[in-house]
Amino acid sequence: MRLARAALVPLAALGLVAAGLRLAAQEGAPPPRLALVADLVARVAPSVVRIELTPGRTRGDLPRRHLLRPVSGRDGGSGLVVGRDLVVTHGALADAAAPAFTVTTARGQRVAATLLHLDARREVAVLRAAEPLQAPALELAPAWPRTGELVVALGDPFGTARDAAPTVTFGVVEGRARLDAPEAAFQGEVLLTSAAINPGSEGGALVDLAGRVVGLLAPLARDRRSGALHGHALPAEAVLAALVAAREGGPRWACRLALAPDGGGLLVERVVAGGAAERAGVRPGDLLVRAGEVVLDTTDALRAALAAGGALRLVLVREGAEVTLELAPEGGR
Amino acid sequence: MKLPAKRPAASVGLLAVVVFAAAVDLRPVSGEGGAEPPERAVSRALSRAVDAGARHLVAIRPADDDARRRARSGVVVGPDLVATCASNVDVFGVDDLVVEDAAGRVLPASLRGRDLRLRVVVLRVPDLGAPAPAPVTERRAGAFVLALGGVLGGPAAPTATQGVVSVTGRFEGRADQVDAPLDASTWGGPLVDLAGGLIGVTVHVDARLGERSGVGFAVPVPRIQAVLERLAQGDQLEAGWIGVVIPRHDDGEPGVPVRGVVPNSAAAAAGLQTGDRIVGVAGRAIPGRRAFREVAADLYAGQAIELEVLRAGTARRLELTVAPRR
Repeated sequence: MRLARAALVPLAALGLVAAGLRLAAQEGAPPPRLALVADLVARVAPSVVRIELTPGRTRGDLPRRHLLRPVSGRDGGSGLVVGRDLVVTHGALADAAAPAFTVTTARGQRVAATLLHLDARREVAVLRAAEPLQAPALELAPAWPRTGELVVALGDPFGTARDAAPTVTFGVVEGRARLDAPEAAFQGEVLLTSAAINPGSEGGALVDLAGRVVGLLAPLARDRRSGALHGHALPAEAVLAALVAAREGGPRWACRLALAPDGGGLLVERVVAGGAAERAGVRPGDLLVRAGEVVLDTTDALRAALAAGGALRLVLVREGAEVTLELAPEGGR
Repeated sequence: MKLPAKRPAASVGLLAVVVFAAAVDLRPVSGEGGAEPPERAVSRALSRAVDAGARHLVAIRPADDDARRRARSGVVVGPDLVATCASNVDVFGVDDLVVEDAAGRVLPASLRGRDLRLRVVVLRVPDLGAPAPAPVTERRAGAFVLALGGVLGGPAAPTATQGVVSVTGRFEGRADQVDAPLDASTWGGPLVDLAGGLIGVTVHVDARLGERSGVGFAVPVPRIQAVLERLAQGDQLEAGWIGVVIPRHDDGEPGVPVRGVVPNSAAAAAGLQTGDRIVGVAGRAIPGRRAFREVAADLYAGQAIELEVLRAGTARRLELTVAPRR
């Protein structure tokens, strides 16, 4: 029986989850409480915002005859706070001809935003809000998630959220694939997920259990070869690349960093071609330790050091030896 | 526009098992006699959650449907009272119904009231009794839930699908949204948390969503209990309407400003004027738009309430009788 089987497998999953969290099996034990995802959502949800196109259609004051109104797909979607006043969303929502938006945070803050950069090839739009957003910036995951990794999707399907609280679905990373979808411009590999994604979620976040963004939710796409409808997300690296490109002058300091496992510096995962990092000689695998006198224990520390401008002496560890690189004054961020 | 349906969630499960198990601290739980393998502990914790939740589960069917071909799920929400999704009884097309409980008893049931807004009906089932309610421990977005159905195996052998709460308080608090797969075998049945605590009654909302879209809804049990007495008496509850226009966004001050009053509405009859500021409804303070919408969503036609308004800085109280919506 198809239905019964469908029911059983996720149940088994839930069960193991329960065991993993040491749910007491004794009689009379307190009721099981599995707050892992709920706690994560509480932390991440404030940084998922609603994006409306301006001028938008009136939604709120219509008589509510139906629980769900038709979705045009042009009414708006979701976005992610990635900086003090920076929001990224899916390129499908942005139109360079009408670059005005309204961003609503979970706290109810409504801010006008303009299109800073539309990366049409990667389908990522970067918006700049007119004032600082009352929402913490999300962290991008340093690498692709593994297949099977548990992920949480947060977006605002159907634009029905009353107070900008995003909708949460849960699933796994099904894998990475190159979709052959006629409506998709993105030509690279995308993340496939089993977490339910519905219209209006595009621009929302796919996060791992650490709360890091592994993908930017994309519109449902029908694969031309298989005919299957896929919930998918653009990889975090596409978001990062669009953010880098959004900065004036294209890629300047461009490499992908991760905090080293022991916290003793920043581990370089990838160096973007043409950026200042590459010109300075930074290589993947380098452990950045100091920039000038600044100890690099967070990416913010590096950002601050670079923002100060001027020539910078970058101290790093490569294959066990300390190496010093000179960063040119134009080294930007 | 037809909303595209998502493919089944079943394929997810196995991977989730492996990865989640690896991701968390899989320490064996000690049972009565020493360490117990995690699979066993799991199986027990799980079956306990389903068992606890299934105490609320019943199957409803026409009295002449002995083969249970047309059975639908229902939830015991009070002494001798069962709630289910309104569309369930609509498909029966007859009033002569029976309810089967988890103990296998088949009891005659009579259809009582209907809440048009919650899309829920209540049946009275003499001698059914009511289980001791387990408290709801977790209902936040991201909380794990089970949707139970009493159709395929009968209420004695419930089916369950698993998901998380997607968002609470959808539609002004009338429903919680979940990503657990729901279909005709579960609609009307209980949505429970991991402790078997009864969160809500799953409802069939919109066929456009598709059964496996990852979008499902459940009416929170407290919402049903708030009107249970009237539904048990057989009342048909209709959405209420005040007839006041408020701005789409808060202006930062407490209360909501009245942008307009619909002619011949309850608000007009009560003497509400454009420019008034509503600061309280039915004894509840109104800090802003959201609170107002929530309170307004709780109102039923025919209900008498008091509005607290500020008019030119002076506090006033207005008596208002809520009108049916159109």
